[in-house]
Amino acid sequence: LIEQTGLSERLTKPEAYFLLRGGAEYVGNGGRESLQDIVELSRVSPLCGLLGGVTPKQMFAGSLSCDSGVLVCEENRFRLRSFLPPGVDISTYQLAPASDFTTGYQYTRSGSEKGTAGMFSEEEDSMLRFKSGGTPPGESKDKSNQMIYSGESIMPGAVFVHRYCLAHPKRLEVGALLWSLRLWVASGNSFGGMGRVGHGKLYSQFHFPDEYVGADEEYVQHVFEHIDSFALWLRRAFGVSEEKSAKAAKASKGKKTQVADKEVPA
Amino acid sequence: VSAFLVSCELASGLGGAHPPGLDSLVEMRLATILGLPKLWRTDRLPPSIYDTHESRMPIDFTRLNGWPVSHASACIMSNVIDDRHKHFHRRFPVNESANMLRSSELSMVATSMTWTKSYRLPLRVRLTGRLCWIVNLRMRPCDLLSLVEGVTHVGTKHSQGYGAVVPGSWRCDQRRDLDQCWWYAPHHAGPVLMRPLPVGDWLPQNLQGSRRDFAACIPPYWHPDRFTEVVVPC
Repeated sequence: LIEQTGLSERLTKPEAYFLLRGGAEYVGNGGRESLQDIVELSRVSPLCGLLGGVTPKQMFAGSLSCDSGVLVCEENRFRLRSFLPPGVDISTYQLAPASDFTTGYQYTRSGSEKGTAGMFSEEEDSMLRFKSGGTPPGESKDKSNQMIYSGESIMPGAVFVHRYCLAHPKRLEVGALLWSLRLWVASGNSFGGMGRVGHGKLYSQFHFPDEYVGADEEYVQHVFEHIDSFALWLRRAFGVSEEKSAKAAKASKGKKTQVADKEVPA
Repeated sequence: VSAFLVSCELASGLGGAHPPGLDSLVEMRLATILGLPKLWRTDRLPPSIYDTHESRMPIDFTRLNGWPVSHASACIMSNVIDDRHKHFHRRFPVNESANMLRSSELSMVATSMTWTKSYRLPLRVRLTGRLCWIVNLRMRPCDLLSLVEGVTHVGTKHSQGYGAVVPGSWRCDQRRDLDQCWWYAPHHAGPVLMRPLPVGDWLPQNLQGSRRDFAACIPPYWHPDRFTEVVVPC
């Protein structure tokens, strides 16, 4: 979205905070909330209407409630009927207990010498170590600094159900959610820790009401049609920050000059 | 007017220190249906829904010190299996935003002060199976159920999945033995307080399980304009 609106490398810090993490309120509006801004924001950016956010002057509520993932297991049988899509009945299935889905992993971090044969002179290396406070050359061998570390993980094949609840959503807001999920799947589709070594890869299936089929494409089209309006809204909503920063820069300049004036006679 | 036990099942932990009141849930649903504006802490508070849309509220009420106190007890939780603090966080996206900022903005970001401050705040989460309230209804139970069945989450931080209500789990059972229990539970030492009430002559001398507070006795309970001298259950 940021690239499409042409705002990349042109954002201010408050704007980036708003677009990437929801933002923070720090100016206030004298105890007033602009209804026009709320309507305008949900019109130009359904994604912001979905997630909500905070501009320096005002907070915007989002329509999304994102539940935590629930493991399909015997302990969660009672809870699952709240999270499963309509029409899915698991009452006749035998479910395994949660402990059956947990397993462990163990990895090692290699020592720095491993695999470095021929890359440096051992004599020079041991002399250098001795000079820097280490043991004399040939006296004792250095201990291996290989580290073994382990942890707990969830076995492949475990199934999680994850529900998104939207309170009175507009069709484009549902489209924004579906498009975001599609982007997430395309960008790796993984969750949890140790992702750098391949943990947490998911196979995702999405169930949503039939009436919202095609809403994601409508959302993308809407975004392209309202790119300029969104950029304008953003500039207007964060205009205060620029004025403020200009004022602050002016003030700090004045202070520096005063200090410099005082320092000259000294 | 008759007493009912209204209950719902929870599918996830209840977030926040204060479980919700049924009167506030009903009022919130009515406000949504009637299209009333959403309230913020800084807004001037409109009058109570009993003053503007009395005929739509299914719960009976009594005026005490001018406050229309609804006949609904505070939330009663079933056995709490787990009571712990989880956390929610916020941090300025330093790494993600570095390549998106204009060159004049590439300065140091203070992560321990001002509006870019990072935080990790505790949130009390209680795992419980069922919430219930004792209410006196002046309409049919189905009128109340039609309103509360639209409540999908209760408590705070429901945007993160806390307080999810099991769909179709709202129940409203008539209980003739709980006639006055919306405000007190009988006990040999004296009546035990069951909901926040304004301080006044109507409170019995031997009231049990209560403490004085400066808080609200009608919804929205969080709004400072509603604060007054009250007794709350403890």
